[in-house]
Amino acid sequence: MSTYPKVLVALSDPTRRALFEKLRARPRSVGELASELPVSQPAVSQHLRVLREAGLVEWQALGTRRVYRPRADGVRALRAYVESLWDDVLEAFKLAQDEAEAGKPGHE
Amino acid sequence: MPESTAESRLGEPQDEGLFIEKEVTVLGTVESAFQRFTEGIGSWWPLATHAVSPDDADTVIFQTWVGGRIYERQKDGAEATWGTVTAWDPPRRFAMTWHPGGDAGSATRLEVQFDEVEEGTRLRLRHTGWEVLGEEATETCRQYHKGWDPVLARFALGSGGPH
Repeated sequence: MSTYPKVLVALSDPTRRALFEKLRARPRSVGELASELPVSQPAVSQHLRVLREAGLVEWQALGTRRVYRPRADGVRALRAYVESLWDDVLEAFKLAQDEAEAGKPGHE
Repeated sequence: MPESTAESRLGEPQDEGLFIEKEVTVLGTVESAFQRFTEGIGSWWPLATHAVSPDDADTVIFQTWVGGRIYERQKDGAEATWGTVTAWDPPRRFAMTWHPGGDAGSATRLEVQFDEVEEGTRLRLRHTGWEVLGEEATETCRQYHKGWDPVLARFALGSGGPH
């Protein structure tokens, strides 16, 4: 799980998360991604580079175009991300719920 | 028995091939926990770190009926949908689609169950529906599934992630 921190950083950015979600739906070129999101083409390329370095996406040459798609190994990285998401969320929930309940009459 | 749960899923169709299951036990009745987790989500969800737009997110709203949306409202009034309620059985269980930052076509599925235990309420969260990752990824999921079981078991035993 050496890619774990890189993946978290890569997916901590909303634009990159949106790009990754798009590619999960189907492979797309940089141009397509730029036309579907309010982000310039150079910015898309930059974000894709981060996602690629985190092992989340890869590209394939299709004629003169580069088509990006989620990388198989990226699934493992994604899993680590989702695991940590629910760990954080449930921890926050437990904190709030326990605190509220402990404050109720009848509790120490 | 969380370990055996993961074990028993190995032979199942790809739909269930990859799933994430988490448990937490909290104080209070199932009614209280269910209410806080759903209707009261805006009071505890860690928006600063987990939102479509962490910098702009103002609150989370949970519409408590089948077909209701769970969405983040941003400071300028814009909304970002996280998912839609697909099953509503208070105070025991609810299910929803999960696609924050993506479109409904790439939604995974979330199911949250609340059970009474001696200490209070046990919440069990299951995140499934990873087949939306696409054929290639799903194939990989199946290959990796066996390798993931020990990892899952470790999480299920509560040692937690690398924090």
